[in-house]
Amino acid sequence: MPAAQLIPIVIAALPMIQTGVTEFIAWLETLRSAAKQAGEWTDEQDAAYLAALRAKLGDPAYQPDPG
Amino acid sequence: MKAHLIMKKLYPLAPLLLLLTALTLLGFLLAGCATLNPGADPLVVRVEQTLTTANATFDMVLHVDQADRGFWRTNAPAFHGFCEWLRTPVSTYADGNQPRAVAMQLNLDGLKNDYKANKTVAGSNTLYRALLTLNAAVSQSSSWSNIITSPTHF
Repeated sequence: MPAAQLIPIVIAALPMIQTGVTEFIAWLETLRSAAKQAGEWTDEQDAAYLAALRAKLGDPAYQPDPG
Repeated sequence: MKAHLIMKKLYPLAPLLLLLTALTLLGFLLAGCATLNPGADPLVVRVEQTLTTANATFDMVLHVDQADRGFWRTNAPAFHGFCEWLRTPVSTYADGNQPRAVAMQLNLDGLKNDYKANKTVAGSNTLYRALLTLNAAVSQSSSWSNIITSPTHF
């Protein structure tokens, strides 16, 4: 397929690709940082992790469907 | 141009895109792998790595479903059902009822801290079992993220 024909297709697909890309990049970065971990968490790191986890309770994505 | 027509035209590029994604992931992981510091407990580090990965994976899957719950409920009910399973409130070690995605992580972190305070064989076995449970849920989430982003249903 000639490159010139691909350009409008890619441009039209951009809004679809855009959805979720931020989440995907953040996920990749997290996998990378997890793989790089060489030592145990400090108490501060553990507390920060727990605080971030508890903060999710206000996130609508974590609430079940009503009913 | 309609979405399914775009996906049909992009379909011949799918193997290339998959290959690039796989190479990127491999590069990220190989470049990132590290050896343990002296004195670090491998089980504790593995648990913490899993907690980090679980947090990000559940977040991604639940936010994708949250973007349009009605769409997923209609077009991919099994995926939406899995997300609802992650959202179902269950009891935790010390925090009352929480969504399962959060509760599993809180429980594993609590067990890890207990194990760190008192390292016994029974404690490590319990921790390992909880680690396997969370790992299974993370693997399932990752599989769903592959399925819902696959163009084969177009």
